[in-house]
Amino acid sequence: MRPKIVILILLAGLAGIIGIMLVKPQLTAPIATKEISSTAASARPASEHELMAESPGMTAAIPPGAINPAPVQLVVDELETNAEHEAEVQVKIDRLQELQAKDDPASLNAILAELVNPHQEVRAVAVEATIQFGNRNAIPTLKNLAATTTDNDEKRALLDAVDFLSLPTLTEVHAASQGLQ
Amino acid sequence: MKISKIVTGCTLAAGLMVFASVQAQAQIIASNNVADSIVASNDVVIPIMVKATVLSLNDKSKMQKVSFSDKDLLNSVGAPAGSTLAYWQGNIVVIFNNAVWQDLTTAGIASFVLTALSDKTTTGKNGSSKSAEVGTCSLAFFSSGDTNNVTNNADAFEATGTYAASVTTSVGNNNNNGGATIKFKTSDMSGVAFDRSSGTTLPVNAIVTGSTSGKGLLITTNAPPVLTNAPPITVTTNTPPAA
Repeated sequence: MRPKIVILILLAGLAGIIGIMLVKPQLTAPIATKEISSTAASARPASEHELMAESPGMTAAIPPGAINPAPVQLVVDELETNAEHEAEVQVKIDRLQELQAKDDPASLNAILAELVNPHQEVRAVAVEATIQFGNRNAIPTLKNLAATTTDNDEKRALLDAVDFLSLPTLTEVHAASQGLQ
Repeated sequence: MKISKIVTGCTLAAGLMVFASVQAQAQIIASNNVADSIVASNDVVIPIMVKATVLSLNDKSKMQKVSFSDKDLLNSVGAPAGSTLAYWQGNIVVIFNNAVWQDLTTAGIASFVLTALSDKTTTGKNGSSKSAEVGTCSLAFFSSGDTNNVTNNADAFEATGTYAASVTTSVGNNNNNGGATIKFKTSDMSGVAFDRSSGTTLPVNAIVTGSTSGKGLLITTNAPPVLTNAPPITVTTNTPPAA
């Protein structure tokens, strides 16, 4: 074989190897993206380094020190922050569940105060707790909030609560029928 | 028309099926080296809120809508003031002074059965997880606990619908504790209520919501179920901190 042909073949092979090496990282990224999208739907879009670090199968292919630790720490912090936030909200919800079982005005006022809590989930539970508390003195507050809220779902929930509280309760119906007898 | 009967045994069996996600949560916890006692008990008390509207005939034989909430249910069973309803081991129980005052499901008075149809669990790399579950549910109430003869109950109703539930677990580290949050809410629950005055059945609509954090987790062995004020469960992992 002539030397020129041999050199041409070697050059073509080398170009092919370089091409594969360049294309490989782009092929791996979508796989890692799928992995993280199923674990944290609400998480912000992650960088390529974060995505590769997320997938255990990919970390072996990454040379030690090639990953900047800062973005990884950000992801961890965000997950922990979400968990902490959820725990804070749940503390409020637990408290509302305790208050709704009581009958004193202070407990009702504490429940009504949570109707304007910055967390939507706490507000929703506060509406339910108001219903369970079962005191019609809450109706004006519910109506006022329904008139001012811009969220249609919350407005509906507040007005539904007004409707529910306006109904006679089963206990009242029984008491009335016993009074007639 | 006839209100379908509650079969307490079935309720209990279904209760074991309930909250597949809770079971999944226990498995997740197990994989994170939580104390064996917690995993073994897998006991979670979930405070619940029941809300229903029932149609009824009043004294003038006119249809009226009547509300029914936790306090009505608690009043009907003579529970002390300050009692709350909770969901525990697949049963509806009355909690008073941090203890189970009465198991309403065992007594045949109330049952709440959740049957999971689909669930999905995702796990974060730090060990935290979130499970979502949907399924069908049924709520039944027989004020006298007589499920064989509905006319022996002052009030009785049964409603069925769907529910969505979620279980979120967080993993603790050296500085703080992990915990679990469990939530569920029913929707589109409807059924029939027995109207004693007319001896007929009338429509009922109901909603049941429940929610708890790690505070509601119980560690029970053979002791009677008692709510504890213990701090949230501590979860430790063998995972090295992400540098």
